[in-house]
This record gives sequence, C-alpha cells and structure tokens, in this order.
Amino acid sequence: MTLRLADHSCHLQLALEEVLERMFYLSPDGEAALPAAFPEPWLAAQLRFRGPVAGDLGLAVRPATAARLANNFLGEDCGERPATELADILGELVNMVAGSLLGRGGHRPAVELSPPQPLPLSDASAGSRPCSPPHSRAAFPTGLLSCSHSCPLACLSWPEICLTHEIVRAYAFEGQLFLAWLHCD
Amino acid sequence: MAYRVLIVDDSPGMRKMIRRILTLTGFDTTSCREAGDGLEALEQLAQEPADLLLTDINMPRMNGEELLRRIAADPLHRRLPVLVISTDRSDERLGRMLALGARGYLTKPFSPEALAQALEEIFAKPAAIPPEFAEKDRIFAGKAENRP
Repeated sequence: MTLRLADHSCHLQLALEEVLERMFYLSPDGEAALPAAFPEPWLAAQLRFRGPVAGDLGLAVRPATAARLANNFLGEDCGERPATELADILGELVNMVAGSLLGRGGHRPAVELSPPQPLPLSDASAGSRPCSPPHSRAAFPTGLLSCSHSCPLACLSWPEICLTHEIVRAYAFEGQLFLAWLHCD
Repeated sequence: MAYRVLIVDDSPGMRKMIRRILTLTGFDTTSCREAGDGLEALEQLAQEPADLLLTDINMPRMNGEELLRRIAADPLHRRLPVLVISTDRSDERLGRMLALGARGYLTKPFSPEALAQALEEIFAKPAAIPPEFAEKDRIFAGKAENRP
C-alpha cells in the first residue's frame, strides 16, 4: 500500500484527538514543534501492525504527562504510580490510536496489532549509549526498534525514529506534548 | 437484578477503567472479576459462572475470538451474554464475533455512555445462538430431557 503522507498525517492527528478526548479527557491545542533534545528520558510505546497495510506506530510522552494520562484514564489521582502501570496505560493509548487510525479512510481492513512495547525514549546524541550489540531494524524482523526488557540501556532513539519514520509529529493537548511517529512498509 | 461480571483484557489499566465505568453508570453487580486473557477467563468461568462477560480480542495465550468459540461450544456457558470491547474496527472481525454469538461490539475508544447503552441493549434482547452451535444446543437439550 502506498503511503500517502498527507492522509496518514491527518488521520494520525484525528486518531490521537479521538482517543485522548474520549478516554483521557484531554482537549487538543494543535500541532507543536518537535523537541530538539530530551533532557529527561521520555516514556514511549510502539506497536507493529500487519495486514493490507503494515508498519509501526509509536508515541512518547514526558513522565509527568504519563502520570496525568493514568490519572485521567483511571479517574483517580493517587500520587506516584508504578512504572508498570504508566507503561500499561501508554501502551493502551497506542493500541487505541492504532485502531482508530487504521479504521479511517473509508475502508476497515482486518489488521493484526502486536502488543505495544513500552520503552524509554532518549536522545542518543545527548548522552545515552547505544545498545551492545547495536540493535537495528534488520535484527528485529517485526521492525520494532526494541530490545529485551533486560536491556539496561535506552534503545528507542529519537534520531533513529526520525530517520526511519515517514511521519514524525508533535501534538499538544492541554499543554502536554505528545510525540507520534508512523512508518508504513 | 444484580449481575456477576467478568472483565477480560490483557491491560490491567483497561480492566480497572471498565470496572470504574460500570460503577459510575450504576450497573448493578454482585461480583466483578477480572482475567488477563481467554484461558484465564475460562478458568474463572469453570470456578463460578458469570452473567455478563466483557472481553477484548487481542490478548496473549488465548484471544477473544477463541474464547468466544469455546464459550459457544460449551453447553454450560453458550447463553452467557458477551460484549466485545476492542480496538479492531474491521467489518471482518465484527462479523466473526457476532457470528460466534457476541451480543454487542464496542470499539475503543468509547465513552461511559456508549458502554452503558451497549449493556442496556444486550439485556433488552434475547440471546441469539449461532446456527452451528444451536444444533448442538438442541442435542444437549434432548439429552437433558431424557435424563432420569
């Protein structure tokens, strides 16, 4: 399937808006500028979709935004949450955005979604070391830029995402920044 | 009437959120149990029946479609009302889940009102047993009638 950048970009924004408004009670401010660097690790989740159209979709947020997402989604403000809970809810967000995105455009093909992979996102050029051995797309047949959970190093690198994904966008929702990236094979 | 509910989803956060919406919408439950996949759901059903099952599709070990297939093939549980709650919007999947006996299909994201309405509709209409399982149902019923 040919990737039509304009359509996918528009659908991605609409999908994110639909999910964040309906289930996380966040209203959109609009598209925002991409950050140049990451002084703190962001929380990210990415999944692979496969069907008539295949590719991967990911989202990243600051830890404070992840906490707000969890509070809004679960309807309770309970202070500090376990990292596993934040990762689970960010994964669900990506899952729902993928479902919404792939169900748009007039056709509703059957698409298989992989379980979302929660990973930290960092600016590799700003201090984090690459995994050893280095992970590459070729090393992961699913196309996920991921490593095993036992890997102690940040593996989802922002520069690599920007290089390998046709659509990389930032959107603001009530002052919270969401980074989104999409690649279709 | 109060219902025994079983929520099946591999995301603990989603299960918690659905449970919260059930409470918020005033859905009357005597118990609300949770399972992380289809296998765990079958284990829970074997221990104690449920009056309503809410299930995701895309789950590890046993997905929601296989869970529905097992439920439809089980004379003890085939009349259990099932509401599918999934991100999958494909017509193909929707058709398969309804053919397996799902009484409703709600796509994520959904509003609390949409969930409340789906539950209202489920309990307003009678169960529709898929034809291939209805035949087994008749056979089972016949055996039951012949029991001393």
